[in-house]
Amino acid sequence: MKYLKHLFVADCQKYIPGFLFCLIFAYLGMNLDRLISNYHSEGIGWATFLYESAQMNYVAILLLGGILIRNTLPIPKALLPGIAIARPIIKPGIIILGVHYVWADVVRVGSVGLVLTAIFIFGTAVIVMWFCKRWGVSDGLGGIMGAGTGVCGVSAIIATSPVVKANPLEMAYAIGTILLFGTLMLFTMPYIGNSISLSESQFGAWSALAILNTAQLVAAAEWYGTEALNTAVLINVARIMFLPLVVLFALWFYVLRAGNQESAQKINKWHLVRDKFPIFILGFFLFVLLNSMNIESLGGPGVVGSPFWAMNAVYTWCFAIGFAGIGLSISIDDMKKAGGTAFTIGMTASAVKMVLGLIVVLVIGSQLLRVTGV
Amino acid sequence: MGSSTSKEKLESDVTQNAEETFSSEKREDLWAIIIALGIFVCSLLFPDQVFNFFRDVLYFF
Repeated sequence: MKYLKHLFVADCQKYIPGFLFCLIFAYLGMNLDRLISNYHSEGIGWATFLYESAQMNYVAILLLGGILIRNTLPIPKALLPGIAIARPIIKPGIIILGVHYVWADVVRVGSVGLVLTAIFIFGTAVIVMWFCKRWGVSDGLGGIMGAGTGVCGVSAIIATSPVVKANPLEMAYAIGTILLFGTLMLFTMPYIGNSISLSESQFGAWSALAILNTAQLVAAAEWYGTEALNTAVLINVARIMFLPLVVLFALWFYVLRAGNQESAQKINKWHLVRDKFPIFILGFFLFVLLNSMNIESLGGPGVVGSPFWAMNAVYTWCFAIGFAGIGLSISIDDMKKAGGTAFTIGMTASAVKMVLGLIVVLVIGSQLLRVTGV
Repeated sequence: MGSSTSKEKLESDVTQNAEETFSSEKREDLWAIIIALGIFVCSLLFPDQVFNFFRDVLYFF
């Protein structure tokens, strides 16, 4: 019951115009993708170039088109709230994607993902927080930058900010840094992956380790291929389960370790863990569980006429609406908010994590990272 | 005195801002589960129609 009060907002009308704008944009983007795909199937040269060489599928169309529209056309301010709520439509898509997995995948790929993410998350968080402290960055900014670069970007920044008492300007700096890095990676990693012939499952794991924002990593992985998406989503789920632990770590690093027992006593650690837990992944695990139980009436993504087969047709549309929201949200002016020492530390740590992540997935190989779904 | 008051106000603003923003994260999560369950129910009842709608009807090419 406690969560039900969070369901509705008083002035929900302000979200309608921007959200409708994203729906229309996603609709046009998906149809353009289908048109290029059809021409490519008919062997028309320019369509084959766009579809195969330039990888111009619906992900690229919506992201690049969105950025172009946002930064060249005068977008009315009335559209911005609705555009912002389109991005999270990716979450129901991730939940539905649960029908692609069975527990064997979760145990095998998820275990690898848990180990990798634990090392990368806490390694990055500790290093960033330590360097920020050493170079005189405020606890607020250092704390949220460490959490943001370690775990899942914007959500981690928001979850950690009350613990380290970050102010809104520091939150804007940290979010700007994370989104700028994610945007750069989103557009470069698929091309790097292709150029070194990275398998789809390896790319999925790499993007889940290197890209900090869930929506951006889903976009990069979907851009690369379905197998990449399956691996990326599973490892990302493992990663975001660490979110409450990273908040606890920030509490220890900035409050308990500094000897501020009075502030620490005011914080209920159990409530902190419970409140920061990203509950939507419970929906994802529900569908993994149902798919693993082999219930005949539910079928599977490949069983024609079954409920899971029908659901499998829907998630792309959820992603399309989310990608429309991401593209239309990327404003060059907002990116300029990132800067200073914390920006340098955050960007450097993220870049190092990306390179180390690539080395690790190359060493691990495809087999352990591949989602079979059977 | 003035700086202490402004510091308290800043802390209060930060807490409120973070709580409001985090509340929106929880809202996103809950709506994500509701939407996914809605799609699940529709797919249970009308699998062919759901598939055709999202794979054919929505495309005009």
